[in-house]
Amino acid sequence: MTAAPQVSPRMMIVDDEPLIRQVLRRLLERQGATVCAEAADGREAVRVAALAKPDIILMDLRMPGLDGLQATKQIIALLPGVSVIMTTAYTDQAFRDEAEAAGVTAYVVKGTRPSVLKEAIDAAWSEQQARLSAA
Amino acid sequence: MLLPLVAVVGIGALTFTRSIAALEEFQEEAVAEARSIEELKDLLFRADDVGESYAETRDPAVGREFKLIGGQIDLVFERWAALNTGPQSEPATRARSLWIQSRAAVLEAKLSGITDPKVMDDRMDPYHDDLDEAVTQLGRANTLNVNEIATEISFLGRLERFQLFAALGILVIASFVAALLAAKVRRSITTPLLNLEAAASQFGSDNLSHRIEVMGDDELARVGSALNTMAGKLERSTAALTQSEQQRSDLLGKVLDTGEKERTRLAGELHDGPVQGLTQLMYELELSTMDAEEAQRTDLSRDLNMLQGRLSNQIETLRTMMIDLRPPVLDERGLQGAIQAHLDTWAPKLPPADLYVDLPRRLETTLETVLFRGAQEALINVAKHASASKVSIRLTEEDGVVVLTVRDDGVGFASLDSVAGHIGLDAMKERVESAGGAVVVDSNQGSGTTVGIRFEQKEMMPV
Repeated sequence: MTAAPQVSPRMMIVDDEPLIRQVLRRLLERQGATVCAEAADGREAVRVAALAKPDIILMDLRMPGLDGLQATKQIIALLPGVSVIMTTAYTDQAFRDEAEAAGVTAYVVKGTRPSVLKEAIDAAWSEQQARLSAA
Repeated sequence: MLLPLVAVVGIGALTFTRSIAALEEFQEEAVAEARSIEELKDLLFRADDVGESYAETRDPAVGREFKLIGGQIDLVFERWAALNTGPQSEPATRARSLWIQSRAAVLEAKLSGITDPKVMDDRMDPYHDDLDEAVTQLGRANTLNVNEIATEISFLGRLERFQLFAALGILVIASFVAALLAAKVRRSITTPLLNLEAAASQFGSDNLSHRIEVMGDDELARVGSALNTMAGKLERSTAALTQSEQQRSDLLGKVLDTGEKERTRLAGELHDGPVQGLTQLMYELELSTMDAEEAQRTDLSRDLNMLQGRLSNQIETLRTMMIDLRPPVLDERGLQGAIQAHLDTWAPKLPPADLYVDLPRRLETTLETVLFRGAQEALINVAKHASASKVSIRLTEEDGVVVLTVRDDGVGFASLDSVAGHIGLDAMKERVESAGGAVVVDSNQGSGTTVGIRFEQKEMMPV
């Protein structure tokens, strides 16, 4: 007997602001995703991601301790197939470039319409599905 | 002072030399006279011999010779009579007289018909003896005269030597006195003047702690004292001014530092407060929109959607403010990243930009901030006022000198004074100078503008 195909991504939210995590969880779940884990900083994110093995991670850039870029590098090293979407209030190209270099899938500026975030998530999920199909 | 003395000595020596020359000439004449006397003696002897011979032989040829000699003797005496006025004068006159008397005696003897030579000799002898005596006296007088002249010349020579030595002595003494006077003049005038000149040079080089060594109580000493007093006052005023300027600079630095810290704090608060809160609100609105769509409340859904758009704009404004207040990229990625980010932010309003950065190390935080603000201000000016087709930004560090230049090819401006206050250059200048740097703005109407900021970097933080 094989498991039913996974129709929605298992997601993890990393943000040092609890209210953001809370509303994002509600929004993502409302959109049909499964939020499997949350973390409040980069170090916790690496530890939790290793255990929860999410498909997509929404990662805040600026956090106390280990920042989103460093955490992304470590998580991708642990979970090569994971998609990381960087969410941040910073629009600087320098951060975008570094995020890309760290291996993030998409860079979404906080405060833009949620549809932008949803499009990024859908794209990442489609890509993962396509990758699985190809495999 | 020495020149007249040398001239006097020279003229004296020349005069003495001429006197000696005159005496020597006179001595030569005396010698010539002596020779003339010798010649006279010879002629007289010959006249004796020839006369005796004629008396014995009565040879007419000898008689002619006797007459000839007699004529020569006449000539000598005539010359003597014409020339001599010295000590030889008296014996010369006497000898001539005797000669004439002897000639007369010979004539008288002849007229008397005396032919015996012995008788003739007897009659002539007294004249001959007297004549010999007179000629001898004449020769002696002449010799005496020559000796006197020689003695005189010798005396004058010694006198001249003495006077020359005396003059040399006077010259040496005068030189010594002149040297003493020069030293005194130097001490009293030249040295104080040189001191004043050196002091003026020192004061001119901002060395106001220099003091003039005041000697004596003359006018120059009083000038020196007055200058010392002036320098002292200037030094105190300058020190007070420097201290005041330092305090102002420190205060300004603190104000700027405090301002920068405040901007950083505000930026952080905007990020953690309103931006996060409004982002959260945005997600809440999205949930409400989804609720409205599920309830098929199209109007509400549309309104909520519109509100999302307006909220997104407000968040964008806040985000821009946050970045303007303190670009996070400056702290996290350094000056190059921050300038690039600023170029990106202003890209729609800026001409194509070329950023060149060559910094071997990351700069000290305060310096990075000041340079970034300078670049930010200059680029905003380019965006707002330059109407340029391109802008280049160069940031280099060489031998501890950091230079930032922002150059555009826009409209420029004719006078910096006319625009400085309007384009934020005054604030930039204030900020840069308070951090120890310098701002140079070069612009001409129609030929673009270059803003240069220069710092001499003393300490650098390793990357």
